Amino acid sequence: MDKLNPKVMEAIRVAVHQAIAEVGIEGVRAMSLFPSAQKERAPYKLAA
Amino acid sequence: MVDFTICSLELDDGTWSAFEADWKAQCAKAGEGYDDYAPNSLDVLRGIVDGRVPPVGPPDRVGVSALRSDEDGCFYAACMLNLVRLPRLTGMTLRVRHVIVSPLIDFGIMDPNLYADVLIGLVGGVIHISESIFEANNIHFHLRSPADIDFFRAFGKALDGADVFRSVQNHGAWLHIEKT
Repeated sequence: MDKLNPKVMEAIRVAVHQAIAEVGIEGVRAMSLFPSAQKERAPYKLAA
Repeated sequence: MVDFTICSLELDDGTWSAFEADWKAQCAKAGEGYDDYAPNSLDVLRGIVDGRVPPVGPPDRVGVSALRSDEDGCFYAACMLNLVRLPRLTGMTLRVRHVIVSPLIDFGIMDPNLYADVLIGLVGGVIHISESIFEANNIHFHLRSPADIDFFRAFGKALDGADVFRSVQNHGAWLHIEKT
């Protein structure tokens, strides 16, 4: 990431912190990138 | 702040094996089984790495990337990247799908303060990739849930206001970044 324009990196940093402040930590944890929030589990398998 | 490096995961160079070994160890540390961890998303990522999910065809390309901590060498997020040419858009578009965080983060073992660092590293890493191996003028993040839309609406508005890209806009289930 060291090759990324520092101004862009700083804008991303500010935007992420602003979004977290808006939705809260629970809002972050509810996002789809947290598998437990989606209850993504192994599909049930039918017995043979 | 934790620094991360985004890296491509491949079968041939052993990076996919290193990634899986790390996430298996993270699951074990949390007392959980790797086979039950995000099976749908990880199956898609595995399918891309082993060639079961090929790109539609040239100039489309597909790959898997992961965010590795420069401090402890662990992987803290992974995603699918798909480089495509879409109608009505200038240049190529890099689509980001199936983003998942690592077991240690998901199971709440890591401090929530790390969430911001991971999200910053992920977005920055994807933009870095769009300037290197998957060169693209547009980046589209797939938003899979209402919580994704809430977060990325706030994120997009703030990033758009920073004037570092031509535009950052939410379009339904996607966040569109038009770089130039």
